[in-house]
Amino acid sequence: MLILLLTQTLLAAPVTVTVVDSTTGKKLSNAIIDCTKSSKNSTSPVTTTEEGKATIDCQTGSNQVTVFHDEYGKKQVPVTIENSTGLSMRIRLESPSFMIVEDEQQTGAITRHVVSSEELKRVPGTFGDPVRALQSLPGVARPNIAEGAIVVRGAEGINTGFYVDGMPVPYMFHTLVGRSIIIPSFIDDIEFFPGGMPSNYGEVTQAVVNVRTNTQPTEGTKAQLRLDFLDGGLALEQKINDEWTLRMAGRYSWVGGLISTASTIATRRAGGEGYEAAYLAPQYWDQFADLRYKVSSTDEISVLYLASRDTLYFSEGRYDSDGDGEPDPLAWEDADLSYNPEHWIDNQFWRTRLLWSHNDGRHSHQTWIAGGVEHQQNLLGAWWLSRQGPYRGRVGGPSVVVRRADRWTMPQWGAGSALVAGGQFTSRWFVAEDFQETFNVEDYDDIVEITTEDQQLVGSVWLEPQWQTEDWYVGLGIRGAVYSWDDQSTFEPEPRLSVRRQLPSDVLLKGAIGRYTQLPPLERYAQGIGNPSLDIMKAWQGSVGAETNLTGGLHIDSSIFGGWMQDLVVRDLEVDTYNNDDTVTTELQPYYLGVQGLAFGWEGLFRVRPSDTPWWGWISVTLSKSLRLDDAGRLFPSDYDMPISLTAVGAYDLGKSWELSARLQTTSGQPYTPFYGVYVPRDQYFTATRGDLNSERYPAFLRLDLRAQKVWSRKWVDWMLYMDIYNATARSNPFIATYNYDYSELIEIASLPIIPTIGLEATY
Amino acid sequence: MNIGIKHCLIGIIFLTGCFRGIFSDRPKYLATEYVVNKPRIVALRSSPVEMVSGTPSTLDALLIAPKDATIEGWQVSACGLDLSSTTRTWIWDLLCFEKDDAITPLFSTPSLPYQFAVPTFPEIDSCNQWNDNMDTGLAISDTGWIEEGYYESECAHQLPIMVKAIVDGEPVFAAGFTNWYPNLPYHLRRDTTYSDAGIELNIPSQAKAGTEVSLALSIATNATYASFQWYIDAGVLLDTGITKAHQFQEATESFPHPLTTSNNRLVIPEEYEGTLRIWVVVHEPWYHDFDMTWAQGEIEVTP
Repeated sequence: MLILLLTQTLLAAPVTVTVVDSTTGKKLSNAIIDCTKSSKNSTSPVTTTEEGKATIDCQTGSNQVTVFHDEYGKKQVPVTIENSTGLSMRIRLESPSFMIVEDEQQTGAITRHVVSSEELKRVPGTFGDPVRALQSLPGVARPNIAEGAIVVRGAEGINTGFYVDGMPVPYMFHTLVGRSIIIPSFIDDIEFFPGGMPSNYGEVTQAVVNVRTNTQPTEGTKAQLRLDFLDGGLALEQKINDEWTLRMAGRYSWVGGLISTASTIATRRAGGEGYEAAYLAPQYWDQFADLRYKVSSTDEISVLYLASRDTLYFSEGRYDSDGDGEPDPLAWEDADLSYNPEHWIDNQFWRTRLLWSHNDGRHSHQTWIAGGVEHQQNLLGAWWLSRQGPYRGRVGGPSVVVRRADRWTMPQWGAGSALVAGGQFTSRWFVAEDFQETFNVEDYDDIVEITTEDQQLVGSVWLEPQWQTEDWYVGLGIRGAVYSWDDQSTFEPEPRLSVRRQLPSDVLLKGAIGRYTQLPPLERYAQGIGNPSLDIMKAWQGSVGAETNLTGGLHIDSSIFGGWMQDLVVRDLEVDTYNNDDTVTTELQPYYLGVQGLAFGWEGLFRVRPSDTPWWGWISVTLSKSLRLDDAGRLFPSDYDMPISLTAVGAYDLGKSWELSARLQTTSGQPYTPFYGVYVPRDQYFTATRGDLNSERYPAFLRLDLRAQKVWSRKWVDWMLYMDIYNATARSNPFIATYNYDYSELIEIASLPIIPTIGLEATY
Repeated sequence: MNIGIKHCLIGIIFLTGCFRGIFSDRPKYLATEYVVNKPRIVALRSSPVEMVSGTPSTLDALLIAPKDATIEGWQVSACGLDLSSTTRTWIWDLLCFEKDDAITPLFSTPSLPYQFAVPTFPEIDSCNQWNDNMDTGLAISDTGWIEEGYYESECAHQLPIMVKAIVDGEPVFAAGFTNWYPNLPYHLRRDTTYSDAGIELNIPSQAKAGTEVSLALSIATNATYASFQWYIDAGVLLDTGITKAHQFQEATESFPHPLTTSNNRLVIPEEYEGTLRIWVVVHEPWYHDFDMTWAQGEIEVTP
């Protein structure tokens, strides 16, 4: 009987394995597959065919299927085989790119990081969001948790432009939650320029983040479902035939529903009615669709749709004061308001783009027209939420962008040389509405909404010869932009120069200098909610650096950077004076002002990719200073002046498809403006007077994030279970603080505690 | 489970879990903050109690501080006083002190009290007096409850005064709000103030550590609506740091002023030795900011 059981256990079972690229679905040939029952019992390896398939004899019971590919590396998948008929399975290998792939093709940028989405999703503390992981790169400041901004090289958050497949979008992150608006499974990679952008990037003065969803072709069918306690998302990719490809994704948050339910239950348990529950909850969703038609071997037409909405919703409790058994209407519901006062934050936009892509080897271009509508509403007015939106108001409207970008290869100048040229025209119509009286409203019918309308027109052209030889690269960009806004027009030249020199000793020297210009954000200069006297933001920026590869898989990328910014828009609080011809009164209001900015520093990236060990990691270090000088002669640190910033990321492959990773981030404390207590003896309370702007700092920031993940395959579905622990040590890193009663001590109001997240991802 | 985890897991992170400091000690009652452990300006007074254009005024302040503290100087300034404006300026907070061009320095001095000249500013020509809507159809002299002339020159600016002391190199601030009259108003010609009244702090001159002593502050005026604020170097005030009037005595032939008294009880710490200082500030919370008076005494504490 025992022999019979052993015989059954050891029955051979054929397993057909298809090996594909996890991102593109491309079938991978020449992958070596091994099936192991135990360390003493393995089968002979087989190799996948051109179709990415191979059949190997395993044994019934638990097995370990190991796949090795020269480019993709090794992956182990545990498999349980129930009977001798075997099974078929597909194994996805992650992109061979390791975190940061230096230019797959240099296109004029001196420093451009192309970041592998597959790897960055595994960086702890990002909740699986690869865009957010950019905040671990050198030169990028640690933002406030609620902002999700990418603040680069001492500039402001507004000086980083966000793009999706080359199309500008008004914002990249969902408010408060901080997840990017593109569902992670659709992100092929992220193109990140911390500065020195080539001339085809305009209307931005510091950095560019271009989330790319279209760099890898879609093969066959791919579906991914991802769930965690914040939201759920579904992504579908289908190559319909050789000409047509359709990709769709959607995500919806349910954290608001959880809060609503919990609040309702708590109210009922306290003896109240469900409608009496009051709560504050974030809600968000995003949608993505892309339909492509390959007209010929050189031309493709596609339609892209992108939409996102973020709401911070305050549900005010209702009461049945008149005793009719129904909740009474709220005070504002009978008023003729143009906005919903319960939507403290309501940011939304949609974009549709028609794109014609052409590439015949000698000449390529992208020609597109995009249109859409955006709105940003902020009634809360808290400074830490209003940096990316109006202050107690709403701003938005439709916009249209038309763009043509050409590239001709110029082999006669040298291998890899090219001529880049193009033009872009943008028109934005917008309405800015001031809702200053949102709070402390006695009668909603008395609210006076101040409305401003304007149109922005921006036209730009560029021409950039790019000479490239075996050792040299020189790009000389000539760009000019005409801005028309707020009854004024101006022409801004934007010359740019970038140089690279490859030395024989595997050292690459690089340098760039250029001028960049940008309109102030709508909400910052619109009459009523902003400062209409703001001017075009202008910046000169430059950097020099070197890259080299050392033994042991160590790569070093080091740069010194500097930037001088003019008319840079920053936010301050100002005392407004109101004179109604009878009485002069004062009030503290947020205020946008144009200042000069100076930023300089050193940044280094040290990444290790040992070829023969199961771990990887990198360390990014930034030493910098960022200062502002206003017209009144005040010299003060910028909001994100962090002289020291260090991030270390590492991961270890435990085997059996388990991986542990960690991220440690420490930075200087963020500057803040101190308050001094002022005692008012008559009323026996302390009020305060402000000190010098940004003259104090919060305590140094330190956070450890951990992540563990397990992947396995069951037939045609790849599963990933992960646990992400944000702030694993529960260290208090305040992002909002106040003072004690006499303003002698700083007291933390808000910091994120330890946040464990469990998520499940299924990919078909 | 960490309370933060629990809150955030159930999704109420934006309400409570992550805003753990929002219920900090900010609303701490000053009634319990009577032990002098850091410099604080606890009282202000001026004579007259409001400012009148171009007239002299004397300003005084009570700064309490640990015994070894050194007061290095005082700076006093006003805000919102536009010497060329004829529009009434009404400022209810201290925000305008953040606008350098809105500040009017009044004086700097190594010590207080200090007499200074109130800057001269013009008449206010756009002033809706608050009694405009009190038309009873009768002449004011016939109403019987408002004295004729009371509202003459009543129109005034309402502006704050900031008092800054430098104590051991660090700034200490206090502020008050007062009316600024272009002309001497009627009530300032006749009102009496707390600082005009005699004041006496009745405390034992000596006491043993660990004992309870009785304290009494008497002021020779009707201060039944006043607040009495107590400050001590060490110990526990059993009636807290803010008391009301406990006894009131009408004027008599032998003592021609009303007399108001407030009491307190001090428990001296067991380990205390040496001079123990006690201050009491008297003022009415709903009246002039600069109508205050105070008294100070010392108890020699022995083991």
